[in-house]
Amino acid sequence: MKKYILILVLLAVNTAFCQDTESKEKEQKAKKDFRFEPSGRIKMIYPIQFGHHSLSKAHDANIGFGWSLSFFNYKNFRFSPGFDWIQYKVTDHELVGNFSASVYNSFHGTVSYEIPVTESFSVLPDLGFGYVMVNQKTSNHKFGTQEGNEIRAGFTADYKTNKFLTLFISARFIHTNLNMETDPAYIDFYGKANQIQLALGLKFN
Amino acid sequence: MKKITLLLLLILTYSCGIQYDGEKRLIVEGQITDRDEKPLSGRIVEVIVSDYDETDVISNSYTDANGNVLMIFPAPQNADYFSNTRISIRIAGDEIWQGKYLYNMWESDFTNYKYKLNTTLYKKEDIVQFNVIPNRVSNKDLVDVRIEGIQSNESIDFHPIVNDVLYANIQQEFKVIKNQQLVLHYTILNNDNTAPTSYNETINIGNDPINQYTITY
Repeated sequence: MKKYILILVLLAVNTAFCQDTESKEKEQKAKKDFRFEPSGRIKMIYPIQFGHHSLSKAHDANIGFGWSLSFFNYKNFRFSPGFDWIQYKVTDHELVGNFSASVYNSFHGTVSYEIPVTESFSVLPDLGFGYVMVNQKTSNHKFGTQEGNEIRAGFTADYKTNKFLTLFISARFIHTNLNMETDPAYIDFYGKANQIQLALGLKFN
Repeated sequence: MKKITLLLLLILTYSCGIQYDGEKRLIVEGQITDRDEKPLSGRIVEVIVSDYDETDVISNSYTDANGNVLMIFPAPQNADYFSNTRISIRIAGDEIWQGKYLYNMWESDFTNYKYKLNTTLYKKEDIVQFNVIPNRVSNKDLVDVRIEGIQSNESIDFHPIVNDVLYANIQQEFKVIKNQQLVLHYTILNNDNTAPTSYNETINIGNDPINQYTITY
């Protein structure tokens, strides 16, 4: 009987040690997969509106600005909330009204995946969704706000200059749907927009 | 003290301005022609939004070679019976052509967000005055005066205030086009509980700058 008890105890101890090793390995692996890596990006945006819609046909784009933040890296995936600000100068007042600019504000979230190419160079395809506000204004008077949402897809190319600073360029397609009530013939003209957004910026690691 | 005075002045003079709905667009489109239905190009058309405090020229344009005009602009908020915000359309006149002013419009005057501005403009030299002169000689009242014919309609009030007193609204001055036959309609109220009597008179308008018709009742 004692022999049996001794064997059972040994087995139990052995099993317990086995489980401990596995969980530690999993924990270490998880730690490698999920890392706290805060970073921030600032960028200059050059938007190219195209298609038959108000931002393309009745406005000229100025250089815009944007920023985004990211705190965690999970298996090279990152989630980055961010903000873009682009001012469009009105060129056709008969189509949009007598105000000087439409300001495109986008609050967006993007998921990107980092593909290292070399030690200092990597490419990050991304996909995102955003909430959009277009403010119509002159310097001292607002002419209403148009709200909507956008989907965005593109890629970023990162070039790491040192431990703290990375240069990047990005190209992105953005499709925007905006709320609009008007004659049905003009709903899409004022309610949709398509743009290619080129950007140049700095990433702080 | 100066700073406080300045601040108070700024607060007192601060205005929120006319509010617009950025998610709604109104449309003014149409064709402007002369009396022979020939298109008039280069006519200035403005859309004006106003309330008690402010006025915005929210859109302006010129008619194209075919006399067509298209203006699309953000809708002002609450342009209706319950507020003071109003929409107007002004077609500028010049030394040859008359102008037109369509005013006191609400958003509901736009059908499916659109107002069709199909308008005829007349040369100023073709417009003459037609006056109705009431001549009251008895205890009767003139309660309705209107004309049937070509009028220049230089200003059109979309929602005139209707006065309860019948004879207070009698229009006595009309701008009409030369060389036409008008029909003048008017009604006399007898004030003795008998039915009112309506009259129709045909009037020839010639080249005279001022034409008159006296109604004796």
